[in-house]
Amino acid sequence: MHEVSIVNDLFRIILDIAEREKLSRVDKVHFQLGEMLQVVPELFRFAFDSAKEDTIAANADLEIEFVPVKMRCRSCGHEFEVEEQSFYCPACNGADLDLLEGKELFIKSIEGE
Amino acid sequence: MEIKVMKRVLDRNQDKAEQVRALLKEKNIRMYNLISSPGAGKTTLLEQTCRHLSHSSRVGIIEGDVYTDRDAQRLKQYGFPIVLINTEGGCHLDSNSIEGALKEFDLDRLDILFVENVGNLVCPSHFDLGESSKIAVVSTSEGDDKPIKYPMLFRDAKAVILNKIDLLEHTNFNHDRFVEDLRQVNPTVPLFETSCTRGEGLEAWFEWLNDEVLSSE
Repeated sequence: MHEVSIVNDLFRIILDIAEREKLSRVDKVHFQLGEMLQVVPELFRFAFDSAKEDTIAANADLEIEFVPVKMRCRSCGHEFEVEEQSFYCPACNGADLDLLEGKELFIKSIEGE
Repeated sequence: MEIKVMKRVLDRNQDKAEQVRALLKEKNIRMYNLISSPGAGKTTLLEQTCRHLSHSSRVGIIEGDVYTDRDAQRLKQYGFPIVLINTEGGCHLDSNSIEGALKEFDLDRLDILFVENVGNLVCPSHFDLGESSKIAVVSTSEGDDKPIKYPMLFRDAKAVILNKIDLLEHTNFNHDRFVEDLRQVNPTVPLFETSCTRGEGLEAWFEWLNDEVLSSE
């Protein structure tokens, strides 16, 4: 249930920003979630809905944008999305890869008044 | 009104992990974060490893346990300092708790720190503790599909230990498929096949650990 830890940290940031921007309510949170992290969306939403109670984000929607796992091959420079958990370069079969995308845990933006 | 944020969640954990990493580097200590499901054999592996290192290295252990001190009790006999972190139900350790635990050690008298994380394959792999390396431990009794189900851990791991190899014939664990899946997720990670209770296959692990520690000095 690391979803709860993530959501707790998410709320710390949301409430900080809301205070800084003098928002009286938060309507929407845009969140970017890397698929490598294997966060369970249902649990994440459940944790979000539990955490928002009695805050200025009590009616806020959570919009999750999933980011596929993307790698760059160090041998040939080819960039590709990982499919079916196969971490080999489809161009040269190289195994020495750098992760470009897929571990995102980003709050992109929040909407509120 | 829409406010652009672009802020990473868990950045506090990451910042703290970097502080821990810097402190350990300054003190020339290697820290290994052992991650597995409950019951894969982390504690038995640590017992064997502590026994092996008892005359050659100065070891410290950070024991993550959900509620009890049973693992810590098992490890006490090797004479190394142990700090217990009870997560009170929490499913992982974080860098803040590690920072606290480090204060309990005399860091000038340590070469290696082992962190036994809470038994869980998903959550601990999200929380950087400031370790030098993550070590994944799996056992034959829990099935051969772990690497493909939990690619993040098996990609990040610097070594994988397949434990309970002595039970292989009593399980439906498909060894070829396990190796194939592991290679698909992480083509280069060293794999050690052990029976920690019988002491089989540990020499290669000890050797790897020794080389790893020396290479950092």
